[in-house]
Amino acid sequence: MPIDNFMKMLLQMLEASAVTLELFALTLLFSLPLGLLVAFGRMSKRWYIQWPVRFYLLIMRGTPLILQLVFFYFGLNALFPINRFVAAVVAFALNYAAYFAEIYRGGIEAIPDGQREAAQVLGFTRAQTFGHILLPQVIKNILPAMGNEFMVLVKDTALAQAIGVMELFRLAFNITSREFTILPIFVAGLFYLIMNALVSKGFSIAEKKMGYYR
Amino acid sequence: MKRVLATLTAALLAAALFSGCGSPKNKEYTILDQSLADEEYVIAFRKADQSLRDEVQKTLSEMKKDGKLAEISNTWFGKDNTTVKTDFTPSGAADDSLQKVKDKGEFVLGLDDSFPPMGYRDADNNIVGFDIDVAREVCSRMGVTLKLQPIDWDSKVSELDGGMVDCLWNGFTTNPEREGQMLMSEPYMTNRQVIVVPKGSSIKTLADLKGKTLTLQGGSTAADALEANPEVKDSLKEAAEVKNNVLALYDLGNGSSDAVLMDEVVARYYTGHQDQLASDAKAE
Amino acid sequence: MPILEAAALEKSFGGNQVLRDISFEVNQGEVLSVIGPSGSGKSTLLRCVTLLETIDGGRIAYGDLTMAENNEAGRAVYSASPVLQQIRRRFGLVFQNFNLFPHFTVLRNLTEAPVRVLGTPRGEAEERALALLDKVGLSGRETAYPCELSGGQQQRVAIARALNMQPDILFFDEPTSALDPELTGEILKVIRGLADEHMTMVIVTHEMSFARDVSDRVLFMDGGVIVEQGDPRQVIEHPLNERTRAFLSRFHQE
Repeated sequence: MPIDNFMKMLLQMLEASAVTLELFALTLLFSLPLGLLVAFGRMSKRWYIQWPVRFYLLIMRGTPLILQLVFFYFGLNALFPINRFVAAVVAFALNYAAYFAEIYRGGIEAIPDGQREAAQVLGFTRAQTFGHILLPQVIKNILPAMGNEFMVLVKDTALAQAIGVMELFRLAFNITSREFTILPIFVAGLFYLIMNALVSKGFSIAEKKMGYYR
Repeated sequence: MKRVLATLTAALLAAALFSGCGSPKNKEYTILDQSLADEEYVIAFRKADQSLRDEVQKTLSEMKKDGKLAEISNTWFGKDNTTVKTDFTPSGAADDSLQKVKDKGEFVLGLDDSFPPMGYRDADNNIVGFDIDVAREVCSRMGVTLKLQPIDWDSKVSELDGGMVDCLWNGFTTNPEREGQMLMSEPYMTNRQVIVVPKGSSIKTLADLKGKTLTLQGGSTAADALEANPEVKDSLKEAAEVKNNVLALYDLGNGSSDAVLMDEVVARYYTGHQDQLASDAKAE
Repeated sequence: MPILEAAALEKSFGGNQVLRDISFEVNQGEVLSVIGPSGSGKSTLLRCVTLLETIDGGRIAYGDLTMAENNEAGRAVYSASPVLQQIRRRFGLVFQNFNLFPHFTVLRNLTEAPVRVLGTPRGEAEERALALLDKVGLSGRETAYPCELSGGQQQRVAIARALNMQPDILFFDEPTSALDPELTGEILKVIRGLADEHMTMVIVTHEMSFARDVSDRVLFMDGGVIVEQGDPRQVIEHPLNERTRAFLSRFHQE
């Protein structure tokens, strides 16, 4: 592979990384709050809330993400024109919200009942109890699991190529076909590694920050 | 930070070394004379889009007549490979598919942008190729803009039926099953499914493949061709499917496999005969 | 008017009746101790009057505010939630397991509820909190986190946290049971100090001699009913009822 082509490739990979990171960030923006709602629905005592949520969780976690991508892109397109990237964000957000919901649920259920009871006796409303007493502790509880999911998401963005989104991994494979070498795939691997090293670093900082109490 | 940089540099070097292992570039290849299947490249449209297909076909015939098609083919293949006929009989259909394309002013071409030399990305990440050059000329004659839409090749039928693209035009091989799903243009080029082996290999004919390992791109027409030739398939030790042709040639390069089955057009590009021509075309 | 009035309380878990026709009152400045064997229903009683459990039948009132009372069918009906929220401001509860908020400093544990629930200005809440910490012998520890404190210290913070809400009545649910024996003294000393100030308190406890010394009245429960109640010296040293005698003699042997 000629060196100037290699330099061009690095620049193109940086651009494609922006697409990957955009998909990563938008997925989190929507799935993190949505996951919390889903977790509440899953913990609801009302069957007409809990059952549909359980069904949603089963579908989202029980079928391949790549299938969901194809379903949302081609399915939604049958109803109204939808941009490939938007469809990818919708599919990723709905899929990751399901995983986040179960992580939230685990984190919430791990908190001793005494915390909620103490807050209730002190007169906190349910919203105050959740926001000020439970949530900060939930966040500390779920950081390791969330770190895992974030790193998986960075890599999962490569699946968006199934609906034609030009992200990092697709670009790498394309260059492979032209340049007749698999070097681009390994370079793309390094890009993912760097992104995930940053994610991992971010989480260890957060864990350290939350480590002021046990 | 220094430590991180050092690690990354080391990893990059290791990757470069690793990817060099069995690199098909260092080898010389031969394409067997005997082929597994003779195929024809067509342009695929939606079943109902008769008038659009007619217009494209008519334009291609005109280009064949006035020599433009030969000129483009010369740039990419060094000769006129095209099989387009100069006479054209319209089907007489009067649907609104052509009008729709003219109204929106663009013709959306769906392609797998990693299929050199028909349609692929050049070093500057622009989509180029023989099909692209022809399509661009057709569009300019039709008075519409060409829009290139890379798609996942496995979803090509959904992309076409869903209206996300107006045609599939990317070294697309026709077969009876596909003709049932889509509306095809007249064939514009012939292609063969050929066997690529290292130079000096003991494999000289299809019969020599007996007991050997053959690698090919999964889901490609090469896979269909192998399926249609059970006497070859059953004689093999193994038919290994990989993600693309480059990986298949790597398999060959590092000795994991004895032969690769692929499109002749692509094989000629990879085995070096086309390299020079392709870069000339880019330079123009 | 009594600070707390409970009449004919009934409570079952599944088919198992844990409270049966429980009636008692607590008056201003009074210290009431509740004793009895494990499973006698005394903790459940405390949870019912602090709204952590619901009663099936009976009446509970805090002064002029009714928490729950029977309808015609004899089922307890609770008041609307604004009333309940008002009632919550009248009592405090100290848990067996402290239940401090681990992510807050000691000071924030004391001030969070007054500031957010009562709307007390933060400065004022902190001023009172520091005075309370001094009172429970923890001045200087306001910036510590609960995990940095011993069990006894945590329980003293929990008492101060409840007091900073300025409740009319303070409940203790076996406040020394989760502590090593050598740490119980510091808690009992704090409670004794509150009794001297005539804080109205209900204490569920296994500390017999403490109950005898600090209480104005003792209530002995067994099998979900109040078996005997009255003057602490009388109930603990000269019980009238056979079951009380049996329970206390087991206790003295230990």
